[in-house]
Amino acid sequence: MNINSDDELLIAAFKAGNENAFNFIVRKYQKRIYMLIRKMVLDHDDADDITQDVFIKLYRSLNNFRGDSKFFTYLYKIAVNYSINHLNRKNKLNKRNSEFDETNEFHSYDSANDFSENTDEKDRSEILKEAIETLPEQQRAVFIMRYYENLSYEEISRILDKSVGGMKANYFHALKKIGSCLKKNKIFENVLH
Amino acid sequence: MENKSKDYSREDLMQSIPDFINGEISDIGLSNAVRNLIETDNDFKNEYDEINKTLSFFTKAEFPEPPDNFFNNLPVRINERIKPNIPLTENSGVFQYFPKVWKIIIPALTVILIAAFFLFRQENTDPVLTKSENTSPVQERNNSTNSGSENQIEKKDNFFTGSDKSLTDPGITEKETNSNTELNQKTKNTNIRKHEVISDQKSNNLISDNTTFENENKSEDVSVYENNDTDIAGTDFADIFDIDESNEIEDTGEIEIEESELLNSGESDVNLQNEFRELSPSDQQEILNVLKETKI
Repeated sequence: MNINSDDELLIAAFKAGNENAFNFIVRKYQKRIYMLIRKMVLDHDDADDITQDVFIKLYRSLNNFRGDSKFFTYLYKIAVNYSINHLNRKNKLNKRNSEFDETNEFHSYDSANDFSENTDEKDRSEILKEAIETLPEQQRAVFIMRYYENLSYEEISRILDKSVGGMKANYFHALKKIGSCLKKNKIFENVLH
Repeated sequence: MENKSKDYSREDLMQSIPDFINGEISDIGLSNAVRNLIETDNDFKNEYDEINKTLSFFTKAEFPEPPDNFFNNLPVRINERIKPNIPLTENSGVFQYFPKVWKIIIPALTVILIAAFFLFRQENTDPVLTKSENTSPVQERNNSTNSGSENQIEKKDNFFTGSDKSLTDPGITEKETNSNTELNQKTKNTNIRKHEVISDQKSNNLISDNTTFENENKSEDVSVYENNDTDIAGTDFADIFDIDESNEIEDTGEIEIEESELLNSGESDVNLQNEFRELSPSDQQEILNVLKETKI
């Protein structure tokens, strides 16, 4: 038994009381789960905390996993749900300071002109963050799972318990929103051409 | 603007643009329909261009990697957060079978039982010491003095007739003698101090009960006293004197202190002393014997 063992084997070993099997599961999926969460919440510290929470949740619930769906779907579901919950909490906090946020938003768009002139100097990851931040939680999750994780709409729909058509629409609208954000920041003219 | 394909709505075709760009459409009919619409419909083409630019931007922009060793430390930190839960199932021992209440009650009862056992045992192993400390002669005397003059008169009557249990009970005298032998020099000193206090109190008693003594002595026939001398000495006092010589020495030493204090205790004591000297030698001896035995 090692990190490359099948999920079924590792899960069976864990259910039989082998704690090491869980460590193998963590090592096998930690990078994918962390990167998924990182793209969702856009902050390393938050992603670190949520990744730990996800695996702790997995540890406590793995005995109840019946294998009806793929294990990685089950794990992604936990990760996406935790990320969406985190974003919802964060949004509520931001709403409380709405005036402060509006002022910041104004400044950020105001400084967009300077930003567009120095796009090459500006870290692209920061632009990416700003663009993703404009997305609602579910659209963000669908976009990341579809674009970065290359999951099919069927898999995404199973993770989020939504229809396949809905996932397709979410992905398209997410791209449109991000595109309009980039357009607003004049990214297309300076970066893409 | 018309939809080129009758099988797919415009909205379906538009939502398929990202997959068309990435070449991820497996349905050839859908792929052809999208391609045709891009070539013939300008608005659709604009949508296609915008999405293509957006996706191109993402291919150039990447998320930063986490710090070095992050993925080496992550399992350790996860285990650290999980581990506190593990001992609950593995190492909770016998107590895991008990409800939470018993986890508190059982240790508490154990402590109480052990404490009670030691206290009980301590009382049993040193009863004389506890008796001498708890019910000291001073307290006993105080109790007797507080009980009133009538009881005192009765006691004295009983004493002279030999029916006073406290004086004639050999058990009590034995306990007292044992206590004297077991106590060290310090406790002897404290006993002497106690007897000093007792003697002070007794002197007061003698003063206050002076009239009763006198009345009794005067009212009763002297011959009766003389006749009873032998009886008292032969019967009741025989038990009282049934003690070790060493204790007797100690007792006499203490009484000497008492007598000297009695004699040096003020004007009333001088009167008492004078009265004592007026008595016949046999009476004096008898009173002294009585004082010796009662440790007054």
